[in-house]
Amino acid sequence: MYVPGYYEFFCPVNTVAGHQALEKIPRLLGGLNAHHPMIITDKGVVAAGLVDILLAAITPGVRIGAVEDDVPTDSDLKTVNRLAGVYRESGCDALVAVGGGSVIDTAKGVNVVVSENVDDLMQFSGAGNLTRPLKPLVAIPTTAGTGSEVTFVAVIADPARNLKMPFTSYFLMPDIAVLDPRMTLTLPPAITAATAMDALTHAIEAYTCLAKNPFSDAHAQLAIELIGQNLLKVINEPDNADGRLALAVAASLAGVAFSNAMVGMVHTLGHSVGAVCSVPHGTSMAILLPYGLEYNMHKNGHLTAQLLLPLSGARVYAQTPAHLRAQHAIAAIRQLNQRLHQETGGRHARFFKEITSPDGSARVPVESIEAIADKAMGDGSILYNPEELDRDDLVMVMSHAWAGTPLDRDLVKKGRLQIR
Amino acid sequence: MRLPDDFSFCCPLKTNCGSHALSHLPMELSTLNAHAPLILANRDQIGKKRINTVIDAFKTSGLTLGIYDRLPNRLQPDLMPVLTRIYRDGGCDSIIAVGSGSVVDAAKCLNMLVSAGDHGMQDDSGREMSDPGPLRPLMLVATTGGNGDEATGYASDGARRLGSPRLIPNVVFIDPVMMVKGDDQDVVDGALIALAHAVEAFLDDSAGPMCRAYAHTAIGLIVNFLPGALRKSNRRKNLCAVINGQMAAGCAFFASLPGICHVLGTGLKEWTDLPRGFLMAILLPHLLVEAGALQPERVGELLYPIVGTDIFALTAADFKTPRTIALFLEFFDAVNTELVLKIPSSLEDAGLTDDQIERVQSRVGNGPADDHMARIIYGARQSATLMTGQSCP
Repeated sequence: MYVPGYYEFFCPVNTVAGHQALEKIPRLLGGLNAHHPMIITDKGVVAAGLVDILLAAITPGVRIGAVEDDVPTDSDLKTVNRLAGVYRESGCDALVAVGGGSVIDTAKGVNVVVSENVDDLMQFSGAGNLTRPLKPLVAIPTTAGTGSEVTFVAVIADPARNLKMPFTSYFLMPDIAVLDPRMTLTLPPAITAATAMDALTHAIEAYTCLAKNPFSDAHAQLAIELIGQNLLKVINEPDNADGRLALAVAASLAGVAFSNAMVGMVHTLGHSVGAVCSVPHGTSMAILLPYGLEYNMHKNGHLTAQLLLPLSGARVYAQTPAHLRAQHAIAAIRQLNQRLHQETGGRHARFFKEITSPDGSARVPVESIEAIADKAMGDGSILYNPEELDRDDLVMVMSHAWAGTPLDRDLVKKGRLQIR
Repeated sequence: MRLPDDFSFCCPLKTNCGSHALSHLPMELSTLNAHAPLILANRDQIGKKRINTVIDAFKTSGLTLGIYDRLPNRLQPDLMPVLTRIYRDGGCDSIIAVGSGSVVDAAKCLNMLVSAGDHGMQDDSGREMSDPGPLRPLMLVATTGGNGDEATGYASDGARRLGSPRLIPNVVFIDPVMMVKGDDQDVVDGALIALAHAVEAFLDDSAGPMCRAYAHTAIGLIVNFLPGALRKSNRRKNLCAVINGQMAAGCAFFASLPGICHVLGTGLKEWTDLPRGFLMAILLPHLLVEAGALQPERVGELLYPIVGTDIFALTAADFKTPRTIALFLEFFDAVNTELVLKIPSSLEDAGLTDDQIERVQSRVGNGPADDHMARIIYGARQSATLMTGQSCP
C-alpha cells in the first residue's frame, strides 16, 4: 500500500444512491432547512422526460420555486447571471441541478452569485476565494461520467473575453449528490459509453498519477471494477437499472478519487482537443486513455499492471505473466473501446480520425495536432503526469491517437526519476 | 461487486496526513472563516512539548489562541460549563482538540454547547437526536492513544452520550511530530478496535461502496503499518499511517451498523482489565469464520487490502477466506512479538469465565444475529475450533 509523504483527502458530499433515491430529496432538503428549490437543467434533460420523473418524485414534499432549462453545452457567465436573477425573483432557498457537468457547473456558479449576493461571479474565480458555506445545492447527475456532483471545481466561460474561468473551493461542493438509475436509463448507448470512459479515465489517472493516496486508490479501484463489470452489460441492456446504478456510483467514486488525486496527460491532451476541435470530453478520454498509459509505462508500469485485476478479473490477471500485465491492461482498454465501437454501431470512436462533424468533415483535422499540443502545454493537469511532458512528445502521442496506431515506446523521452 | 439497492454515505472529515501537516492548521481555520481558536489538550497525556508544537504552527499566522491544557483523563459533566465560559469569554470562534479520548469528547461537547446551546446536549439514547444545525469549526490534531472514535459523530461529556454527524471534526491533522512515544499496548488497543470496526463495516451489506472504500483503506493501513509502528525504525511514519487508518475506520464505523465484535467486545470489557481491542481481536477471526460461511466471496475480498493486487489475484477463490483468517492470526502474532501483555488466543485465556460470557451474551444478544453470536462466542471461548470445521453443539 503506497502512502505518500503528505496528502490530503476530502469529500463531504452526502451521496444518496438507489432505485428510489429521488423520493428522498424532500427529506434531504428539509434537513438543510430548504423548502423552495430552483431546478436548473437543460433542454435535453427535459426532452428525455427526466424533469417530469424528478417532479413526480419530489413535488409531494417540496414546493418548486422555478424550473430553468436554458443551460448551454458549456456553462457561461451570462446564463449564470440570468439564472441568479430568476432565483432571487422566485424567492428560492436552494438549488437542484439535474444534468451533466455543464448543468452542475452552472448551478455551482449560480450558487456563488446568490449566496454571496454579488453581480460579478468572476471576482470569485481562481482557488479558495470563497470563505463561507453557500446555499444548499443538490446535484442529480444524468450522465454517469463527469463526477461533478462530488468535485469542488466549476468551469464557467466568459464569452465576452473568450475565457474559460476555473473556480475551485470546497464550498462549491454540492451538499447532496443523488444517484438514481432512472436519471440515466434513457441515455443513448454512445453517450453512455463515452461518459463511462470519462469516469474510467478519472479513476485510472487518479490511481496511476503523481498525487495518489490510499483513500483515492480505494475509491479508484472500486470505480474501475464497477465500470469493468457493468459498462458492456448496460450497452447491451440499456434498461438494466442495476447496471445503470453501478455506473452512476462508479462515476461518483471516480470523481472522489480524481478530485483528491488529480489527473494526468490523458486530461492534459483531452482538454486541448475539446478546446481546439470541440470533441466531446468523454470521447477524447476514451481515445487517449490507452495512449496515456502507454506513454507513462516506464514510470508507472507496475501501477498500470495492477489495473488488469479490476478490468479483466482475477483469472486473467493470474494467467498473465507479471511483465506483460501492464500491456495487457492497456490492451483490455483498447479492446473495450473496440467492443463499444461495435455495440454502438460505430458511434463510439476509437481514434480521432474517425470522428466526423455533422457535415461529414473531419472533426479533428490532422493539421490541428500542433495547435492541440501548444494548448496542452498550458494545462494544469500536466503537473501530475508521471513523466515530464514536452511539446514534441504531445505531438507524437496525438499523432498516434489520431491515426489509431500503437505508440512506439522507444521514442518516448524517458526521465530518470522513478515512481515507487 | 454487488451494490445494495439503496445506500447513503457522508464523511465531512478532511484528512491532512504527513510531514508538516500541522503547518496547514492556520490556513484550514481561515478557509472556514475562523480566526480565534481555543486549543484543548491534556498536558499529562501528550506532554507540554507537543502542545508547544501546535502553538508553533501559528507563529506567523497572527491569530490569537486560547489554550486549556488541563483536561482530565475522565471527563466530568461539570467541566463543560467551565469550558463554555472560557470559550465565550475568550471570544473564541473555533476549537482545536489535541489528542484523543476525553479531549476529543470535551471538544465535541463544547462545540455542541457553544453552537447549539443546551438543547443540543440531549442524550441520544433510545431516539434519534434532532439536528442541531451547523456547529463551529472543530479541528483535530491526532496523537497516539486514540481508536478512531475521534472521527465519528459520537461523544460523551461523562454523563450524556451524543450522536450526530455534526459532531464530526472538520479536519484531522496527522503529523509525525505529534506522534508521542507512548505505551505500545495503548497503540495496539486503539488500532485493533479500529481494525474490528473497519472489518465489520467492510462486511456490512447495507453500507455501500463509499463506506467500503474507507474500510478498505483502514484495514490496509492498520494491518500493513501497525507492526512497524511498534518498532524503532520509521516509528513515527508508521504511526501516522496507523492513525490515518484509525480515522478511516471511524468514518466507516459511523456510516455502518455496529457489528457483533463491537457489541460483544464492549460488553466483555466490563468483566476484565484486558484492553477492549484485545477482546475484539480474539473475536475477529471467529467472526470471519462465521461470515465466511454465509458470504465467502465478501470475506475473501478482505484479502485485497491486506496483501495487495498480486497475492489477492493469485489466490484461488476457495482459499481467499481461509487465507484472510490465517493472515489476521499471523498479524496478531506479529503484533504480540512486540508486546509485553499479549493478545490472548481465546476468551478463556483472557480470564473470562463462562458465567461472565453468558451474561454478556444474554444482555447484548436479542435479535436475528443471536445464532451467529453464539457460534462466534463458542469458537472464541477456547479458540480450538477455528478453521477445523467443528460445529457448535
